[in-house]
Amino acid sequence: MAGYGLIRVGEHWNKSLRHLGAEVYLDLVSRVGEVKINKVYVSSLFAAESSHQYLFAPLLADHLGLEHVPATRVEAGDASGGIAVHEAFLSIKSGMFDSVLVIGAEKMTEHVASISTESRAKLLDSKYESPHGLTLAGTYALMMREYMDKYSVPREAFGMFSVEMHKNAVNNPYAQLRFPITLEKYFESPTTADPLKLYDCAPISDGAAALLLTSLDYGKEISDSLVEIKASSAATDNFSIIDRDSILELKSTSKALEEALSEAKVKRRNIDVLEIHDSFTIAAFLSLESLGFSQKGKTHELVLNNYFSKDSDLPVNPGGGLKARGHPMGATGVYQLVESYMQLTGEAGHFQVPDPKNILVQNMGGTGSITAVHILSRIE
Amino acid sequence: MRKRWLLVASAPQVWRESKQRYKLIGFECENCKRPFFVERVICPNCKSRKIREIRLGAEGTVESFTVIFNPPKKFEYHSPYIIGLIKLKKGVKVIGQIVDCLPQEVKVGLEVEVSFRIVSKDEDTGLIMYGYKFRPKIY
Repeated sequence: MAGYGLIRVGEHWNKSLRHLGAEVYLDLVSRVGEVKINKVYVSSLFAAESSHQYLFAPLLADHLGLEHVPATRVEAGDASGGIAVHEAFLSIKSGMFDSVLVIGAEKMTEHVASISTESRAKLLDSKYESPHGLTLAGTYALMMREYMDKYSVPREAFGMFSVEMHKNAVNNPYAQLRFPITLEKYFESPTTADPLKLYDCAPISDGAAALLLTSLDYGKEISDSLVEIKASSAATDNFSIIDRDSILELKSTSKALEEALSEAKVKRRNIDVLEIHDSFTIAAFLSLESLGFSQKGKTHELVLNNYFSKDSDLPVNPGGGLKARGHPMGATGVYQLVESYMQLTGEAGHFQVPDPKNILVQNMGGTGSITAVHILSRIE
Repeated sequence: MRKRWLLVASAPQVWRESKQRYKLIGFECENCKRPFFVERVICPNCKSRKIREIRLGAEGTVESFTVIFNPPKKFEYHSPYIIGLIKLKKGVKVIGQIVDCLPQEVKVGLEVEVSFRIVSKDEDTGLIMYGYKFRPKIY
């Protein structure tokens, strides 16, 4: 990873999807200069629905002035960003390309909330889940009820996780929800899909992020701040939750993690920061368990003991996570990786974690149908 | 009003899927005997291609449930509504709405039975999708 471009996650009423993409490209160019780009991957989930645009990748390449450069859109639900970087990583590893640009861009605020809810419901099985009125939040609500019921988890553990994420986001200039919340405020928030409350859920967001991946040689030519992708893996699971033996196990995440650890030749204890897919607080709990950083049904004990807070030995989502940085679906994975790059190069400013060496990034699509896992390391 | 083409129901799709929705038909692998509800051409367990239809019965229990307060556009009329993850007698799980009761009456482990209902209506085409919902078991 040789450079990045970012825009603050938020409600960008005055900016179109292409405008967001172009803005982060210009931000990237302001850091690394006009570099060679062999290929562009664009991760955008709702380009066709929110912006009525197929072929968004070639459109964006044209707007960026990247004449004749091949450009492809990657759609993997809200794991699109992580999967796009995975594909970019493979294309560099293949030896074909020296320099690949990934741009994640998403507009979720073009339509009223019920339409955005309907769009997100398309991340579920269109024959067995969404036709019954099930939503993405509703599916995580089913998981949360079963989890709370099975392990007798106190409700405030989920609240504390949300409080923690908001606290972290205050210091992240790119975060959407830069305000602290209290447990009281959490409990007072309206129910979206029982038992999920509003403050269990990531917000509706617009956003874009750019990341430049290069071979080591070309990277050294153009940048002084390089981060190594030690592992890039992806895995899938039974698509519908009705086909899973347990809805509390995210097997795409555990499988991708297993492969990433063996590819990177690192152990869990070598990981200094976790960047996880907390689209809902229950998603965070299940992710931490499926990644093997807490035991099944025990995450609440760790959360209530501040085990994952920013000043702990294992900070989770120091930039506020999906919960408070915001969750511009297709762009989210790129945000996660860019923020981790900033942590490893010491550019994270007020949300900097002291001296991290290895960061693990998990980006999940839908209800865990697909997961991308990256392990990033500082180049000494 | 201009039709939002992305959201309009498809008549062929509703027709194609009606048999399973009307009769709660499931599937079983002839080789390993694994039952499942999601129609497939390859057994998810042993990868056999020999799959036959089975009846799943009309009774089950609530494994988990949620009450939807932020519905998709198409379901705003029903909101708030209850959705259950139902485990049927054969051991397979299905998603369906739970009706004829209040949210506070639903508990994990509640016994339910199938009820044939209108599942959704499409505003633009007038297309009605019928199918299974679940209600507390009537003795």
